[in-house]
Amino acid sequence: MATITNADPYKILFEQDIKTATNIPMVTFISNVEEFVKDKDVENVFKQLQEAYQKYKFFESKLSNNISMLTQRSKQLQESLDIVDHVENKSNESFSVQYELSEGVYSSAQVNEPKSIYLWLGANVMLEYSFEEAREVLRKNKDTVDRQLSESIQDLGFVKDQITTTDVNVSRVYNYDIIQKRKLKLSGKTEEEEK
Amino acid sequence: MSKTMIEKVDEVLETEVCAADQKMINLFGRLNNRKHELMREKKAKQEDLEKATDSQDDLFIADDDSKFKYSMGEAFLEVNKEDAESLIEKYINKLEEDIKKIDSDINDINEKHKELKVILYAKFKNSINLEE
Repeated sequence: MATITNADPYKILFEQDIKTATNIPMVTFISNVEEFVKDKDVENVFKQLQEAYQKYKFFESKLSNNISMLTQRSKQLQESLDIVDHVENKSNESFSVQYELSEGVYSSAQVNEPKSIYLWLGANVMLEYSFEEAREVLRKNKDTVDRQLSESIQDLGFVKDQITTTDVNVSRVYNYDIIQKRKLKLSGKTEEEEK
Repeated sequence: MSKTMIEKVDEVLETEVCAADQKMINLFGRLNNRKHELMREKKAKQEDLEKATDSQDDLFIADDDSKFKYSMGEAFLEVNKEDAESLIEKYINKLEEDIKKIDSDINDINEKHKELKVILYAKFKNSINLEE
């Protein structure tokens, strides 16, 4: 049976514009540094930019962890689907399995002509399903996880853009400040030369 | 002397960043991150492929009536030689397919990077550093 392959969630990263992430503010692009800095203390501007940067770094870290967790979960669900397929193919046979009791501790079990499969649903609940029903449940769960994964990848792309934009903002304000100081020094020298 | 310095300052000011430039810079950064992720993934899968290929070779020379323990999720299933060969071949094909896709994605990113570099270096010249 062919495995259903989901569309690549990372294709979103090729978009020129990534959709805004909910609950995360967008950096305002500084179209004119001179206007932006006017009437402001440059040190305060840097401080605010640095604070924004740290916040986005926090979001980045959180989303990265989320993506790792969801990727692992999706992989596990795929493995479960593969096992269901394999066991169904053996429904007229007997075979043995070593299952894990504890970390590194295994026990052996004999499976005779399996007709159904049990899924652990959490909260100390395990339910018996036919093979088709089990596949349906697992596939539905995997679709949910894959959708969440896509959303997290998109959000992370958005956050990385905010980090890059903030980096560039800092550079531009810094360069502007350097130039202003240079001009002041220069105009000072010019005045002296005129004397 | 004074005029020359002022003109240089003006030169720097002229390479102002507009919103469209920022979007291209963002896209470059995003794809660069993804490229490095993909390179790490590819390395891991190549290692898995090497192990799987070694296993396949070992399987080939094993006795025909041997039983094998095949890892699936958190359990080991007992399988005969024929099934083991089938499962491992399927696994190897999947890995090769995955690696092919990763190569394709990296190639797409390289193409996009090339485009962006042409545009951004043309405008910013030495003011920008697009490391990969």
